[in-house]
Amino acid sequence: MALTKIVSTEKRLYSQTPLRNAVQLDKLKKYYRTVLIIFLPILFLTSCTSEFESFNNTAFEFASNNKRIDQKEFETLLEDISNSAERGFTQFKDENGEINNPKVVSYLLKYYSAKNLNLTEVDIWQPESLTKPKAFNINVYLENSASMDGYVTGVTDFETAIYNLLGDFKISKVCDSLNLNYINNSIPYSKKNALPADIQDFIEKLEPSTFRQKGGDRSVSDLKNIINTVLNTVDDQNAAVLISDFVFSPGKNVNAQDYLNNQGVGIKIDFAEKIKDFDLSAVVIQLESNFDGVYYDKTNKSIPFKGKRPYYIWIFGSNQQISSILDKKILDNIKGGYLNRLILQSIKETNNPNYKILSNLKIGDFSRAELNNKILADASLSKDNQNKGLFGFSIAVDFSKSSQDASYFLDTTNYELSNPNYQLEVELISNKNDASLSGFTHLLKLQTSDLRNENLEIQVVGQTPNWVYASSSINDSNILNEISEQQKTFGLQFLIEGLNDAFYPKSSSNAINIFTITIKK
Amino acid sequence: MARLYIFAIGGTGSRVLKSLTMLLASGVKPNSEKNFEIVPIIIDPHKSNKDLKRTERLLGNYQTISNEAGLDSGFFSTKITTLDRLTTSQNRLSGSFTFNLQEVGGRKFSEYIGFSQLDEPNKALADILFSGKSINKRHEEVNLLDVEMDIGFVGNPNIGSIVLNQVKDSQEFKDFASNFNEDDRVFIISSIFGGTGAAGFPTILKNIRDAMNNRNIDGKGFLQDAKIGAVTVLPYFNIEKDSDSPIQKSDFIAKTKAALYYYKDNVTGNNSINSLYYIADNYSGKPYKNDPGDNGQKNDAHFVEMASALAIIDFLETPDSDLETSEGKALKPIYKEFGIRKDSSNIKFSDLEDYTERKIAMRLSQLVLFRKYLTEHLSNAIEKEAWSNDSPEINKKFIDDTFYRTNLSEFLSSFADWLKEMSDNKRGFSPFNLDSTIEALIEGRTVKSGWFTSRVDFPSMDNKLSKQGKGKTYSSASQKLIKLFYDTTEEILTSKFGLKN
Amino acid sequence: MEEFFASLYEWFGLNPLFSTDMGDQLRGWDITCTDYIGTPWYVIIGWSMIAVTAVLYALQYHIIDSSRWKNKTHWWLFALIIVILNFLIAFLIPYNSIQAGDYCNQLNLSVSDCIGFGLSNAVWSFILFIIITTIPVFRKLSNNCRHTTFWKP
Repeated sequence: MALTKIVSTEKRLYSQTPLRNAVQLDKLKKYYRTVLIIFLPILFLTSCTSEFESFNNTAFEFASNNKRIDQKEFETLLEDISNSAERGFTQFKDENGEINNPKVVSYLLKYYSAKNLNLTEVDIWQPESLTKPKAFNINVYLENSASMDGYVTGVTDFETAIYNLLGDFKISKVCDSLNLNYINNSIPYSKKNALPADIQDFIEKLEPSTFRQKGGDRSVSDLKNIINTVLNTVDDQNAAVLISDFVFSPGKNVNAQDYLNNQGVGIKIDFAEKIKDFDLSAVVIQLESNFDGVYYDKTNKSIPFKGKRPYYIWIFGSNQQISSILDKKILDNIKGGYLNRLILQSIKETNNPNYKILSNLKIGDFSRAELNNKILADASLSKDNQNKGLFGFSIAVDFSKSSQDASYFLDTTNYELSNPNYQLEVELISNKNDASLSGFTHLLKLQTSDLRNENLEIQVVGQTPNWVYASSSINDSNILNEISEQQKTFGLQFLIEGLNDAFYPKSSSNAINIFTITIKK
Repeated sequence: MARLYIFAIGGTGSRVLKSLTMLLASGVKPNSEKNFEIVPIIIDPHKSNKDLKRTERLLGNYQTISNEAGLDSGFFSTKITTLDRLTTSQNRLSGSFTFNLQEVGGRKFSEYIGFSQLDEPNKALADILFSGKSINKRHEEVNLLDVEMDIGFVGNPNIGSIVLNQVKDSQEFKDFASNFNEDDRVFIISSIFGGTGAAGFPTILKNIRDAMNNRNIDGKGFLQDAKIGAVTVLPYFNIEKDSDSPIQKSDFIAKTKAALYYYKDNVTGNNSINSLYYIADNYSGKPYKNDPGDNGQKNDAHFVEMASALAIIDFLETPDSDLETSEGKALKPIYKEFGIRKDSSNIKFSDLEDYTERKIAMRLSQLVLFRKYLTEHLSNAIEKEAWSNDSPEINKKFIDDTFYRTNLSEFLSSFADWLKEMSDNKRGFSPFNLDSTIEALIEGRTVKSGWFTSRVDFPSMDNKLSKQGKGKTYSSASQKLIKLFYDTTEEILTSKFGLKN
Repeated sequence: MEEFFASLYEWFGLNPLFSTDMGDQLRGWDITCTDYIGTPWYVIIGWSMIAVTAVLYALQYHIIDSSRWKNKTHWWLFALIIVILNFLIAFLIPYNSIQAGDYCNQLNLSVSDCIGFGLSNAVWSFILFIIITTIPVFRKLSNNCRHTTFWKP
């Protein structure tokens, strides 16, 4: 009896071993806890790269591989961009969310430059633009009135330049067929679909005798008429080139002033009509050639003259046609160069060039946080001695895709500011090595003492440039003796103003480009 | 709560009671659903008995500590109460555990029985019954009848039985009886070879079983059928030969036989006792000094006393169904002996049988470890370690307070002495290396070590204490000290030393 | 998150330790000077500061968690390690960028900016360590170090 009692109590005692197990379990838990505490933070930190960073890294890898971005690599990058909604990728997309390839390319170029990898635009594959430009013809009209004889006597700069231009038109394949014409009151001569041999022939035959031979009414240049005739030939499939000295000849018994005014108005109306239904663009180039012949002044008095005289080439076409011609840089390569250029476009859309506000080059202070949205936040006046009480900032703009000449944008009179208290200075960006400025052509510097909360609008307006006024004459009778007159063209101002008023009527704002900067104090 | 009334008779009774107190302090508990409250009643006319004094002081400290610690703190978790706390009687040495034997001090036995007033035939009877010579406290030879009783009955149970019969008429017995409930039990500790013990055991047993006939008592009838256990300690020690002393070793055997004859008729033979435990040792080792009692009978603690205390634990573990009594007679009396596994002269835990080891090894080791920490390291740890800074704080103020400085320190010091005495004694009990490092504390057990396990030393103990005490609430700093160390030492001994409870 | 860390490191607008250009670089002003789309260093270094401090705190209070490493001197030792580590992290990262030229060239960055930012990170990590070890929520789970703090709220 005693023995069984002992056994049962032993059993009871043995069951009191949970203490032992509990101790072991506790140790195990402690080891797991240690591992976890050390492991988790490391895991967390290493997974911290953003998608934009990995995009940058991928792009860098691709470029350092073989210093090129080929099609597959570029498309991989495009995919990364379209797959992510991160903030860094918004700069590549338009308002509707589609990827803007040029923006991608320009960012990549900037990034590589900052990383000291020198790639250029040609190293990056880009998709061909889907819309093939429509083929069009170019109709060349050479004015062969009597006043033009002096430009074609012998071998002149005029002939060389024209020959080159026509040749370039043909070679560049910018047009389908090149048609050559003489024009005065009528079109006395036409050569359709000129081949290179025809062009050569055309040029070689540029002599006063040929002018006379081809005929037409060579006595008077009714510019308005000529222009209108040429204008009427312009359509979707036809662009026109008009070459002339563009000198008005009012005649003996006409009031020159009235005549010029009327011509100007007439031209304006003609162009305005055309612009109503057609997206017309016009290019006016001023060139110089040696001249040996007779100059007819405003009263049609003949004055023999030998020297340098200006002449003009006008090109009309649709926006797309003119863009094609400009893109091929045909005009820039004219033999002998040109003096001035003017480009007018009917304002159907203002496409804004790429611009960015620079974070340095500031007078006073503002925060960088919203610069990418073109907002100057926390703006304040400068406190240092040099610029006390002033506020200023700089904008880098890419005018390279604009049809206008780079010099157009250097002229501050071509700008209109919504706040007249701001002063503007413009300069070309010359430092090619600065990565932050790569992809931009001009630097706009603004400064004011009137800092307030506003949306500052900077407009580049289309207007008659200064060189027109400098080259315009209202009295050419004394051309032999007045040297300054020799470089001028009678009535040019009225001609161009008429043109300008058609494209940029004074009644509306004629902004070619608009930049809006929001300023918040 | 059920009570266990322990009558501790004579010197042996006190010493066994002391061992029991040490065991209870270390957290040894009977494996039983019932919780027992211990009420010790020491019966010893030998008031200058140093053992008695030591035991009384020990019990006093135990009570104070136990009151602070409560019943759930592991150490000191069994309640020990004095008889007077149960009643409101006036005629007492109040708050004492000792039974006041009347008219014993300084009196001759002949005066006690009123020898001079007896008539001639009775005088002659008395002469025969109480013949022989004895030695009084001045080492003079006297007639037995003239012996002075305040040193006990010096090995004469015939005198003892007369005197101790007054118990049944005493106020204490009356209190005891009127408070005795059906669930309560009684245990009597006595030695068979001594004076007080041999006489007192049957006397008290008879007084209890005869309770119904006792007009002094107005108790409830439970006493007659009380569940009574007893341990009777047979000779286990050697005393020096001293012809001047009334106590001789050779007399022990003779007296033992005589007592056993008496028990045969009056204890075991008539089924008065429910459970009787015998314990003895025939080890003929180091003898004790032969001191009849005047210089304060101070015997070193002995293993047998601790084993006797285990009898009480066993008695409490015995279920009620085995102790049924009717009309003063035990229906199924139980008789037990105690044995160890290996007969070694210096007992270690491994020398004990499994059940004994399981009962005491863990708990005693816990108390030893507790004491070791307190004496060797506590002053370094207070106000620095997390466990001591947790609320309730254990700080310098606590150390200077009575609880720690007096009660606990004295108790633990007595505990250390008790262990040392048992260790030095023959047959010895030395399971501990008290002055060694913690890892070598238990003789025969080594600390488990390996790659990932750390050493067992005081800083690692601090670690475990702080861990154990984390987030726990305690009712007071004293209670925290007790319970926290109980839990921590238990954990250390289980995990590091491999002890099982 | 970006703004939270930015305002911390720039001391809520006071920014005495490094230039605003460095502040922009750390916000993530990208290498092409376009926008804050570059590496957001403030966030990365901010989290690493929290992580380093938390790990070292856990090391002392929960992993080592020993009675031998709980004194005030040990707290200072761990604080020193935390401060040094965080200073180095915050100093070296922009310093490397400067040495490699890996930043928008319109920004003016100098070594003293790196030192200033390092100090800023170090100070914040120290403050964070103080906070973690003062509030009872974490330290009460420690076995031995739950009273290793300067102040017990």
